[in-house]
Amino acid sequence: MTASSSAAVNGRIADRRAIERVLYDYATALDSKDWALLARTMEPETVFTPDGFAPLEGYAAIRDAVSSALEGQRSLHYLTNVEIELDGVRARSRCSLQAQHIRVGTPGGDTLIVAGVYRDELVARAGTWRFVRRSLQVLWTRGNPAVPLGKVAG
Amino acid sequence: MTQQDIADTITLEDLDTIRALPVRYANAIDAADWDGVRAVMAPTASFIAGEDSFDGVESIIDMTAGALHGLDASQHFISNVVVDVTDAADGAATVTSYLQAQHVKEGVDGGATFLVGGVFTDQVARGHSGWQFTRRSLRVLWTEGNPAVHP
Repeated sequence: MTASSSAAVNGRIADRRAIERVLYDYATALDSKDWALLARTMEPETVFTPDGFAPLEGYAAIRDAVSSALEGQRSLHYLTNVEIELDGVRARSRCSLQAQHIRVGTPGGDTLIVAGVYRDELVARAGTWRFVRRSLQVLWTRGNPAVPLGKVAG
Repeated sequence: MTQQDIADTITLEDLDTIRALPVRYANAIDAADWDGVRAVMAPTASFIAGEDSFDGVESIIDMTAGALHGLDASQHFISNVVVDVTDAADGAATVTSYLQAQHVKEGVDGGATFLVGGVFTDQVARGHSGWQFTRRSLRVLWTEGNPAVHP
């Protein structure tokens, strides 16, 4: 393998790792309610479309919706099945989600799992990958629907 | 075989590609994307599930499409992917992964979900179409929920 093709391979692997990190950072931001971290995962003009809701346009709208949805509860957004397609400084990704929502003392049970698929578009600006578009398709839920999810499922 | 031998013939990108195969297969069947299945399986691949065995990718697709037909959704969660290169020179590896597969069908008496947990043990090889499964074996270890969802 030549030095230049080796550098290209390493670059692609580094891009994939960086994009995976954005996916995990988004989950960490939600689960630790770290809105500064959430801001770092996306471009200001990002559009997030949660299943069954109108698109949320821009970081502020997304932060307001997910922070409201997760208020008063703990959550863990488990991510698996990541697939990434690179196209220069743009990329598409998809990952599977099982999000456990926990609100202790809810009549009927403390937990609600929301499972689905995130589909994303990202761009690398100045070498940093961030979301520009994200959608969530909900496939199934399990547990107590009374555990509140606010306006969106996160 | 020494580490140097493997480094000479199996690249990091090969390992990345191999590691992605169980996930690509799972995502393809959840989306009923049968070309996606053909992309990751050799035409002559076999699939063993308990007592049942299926030979050839089209036979595997028929079985899978039949099993998932009529569900509202399925979601095959893959984790714990481990790659062991068995023949670096010819391009062959063994891959294991854990599965939790949720099957959903609303309106079924006894509950809308059936969860299947198990382990895939796979053989993969590098052929003309790149890295593909040549053999998949699924061992189901546990289930939970309503079997009538996924008979």
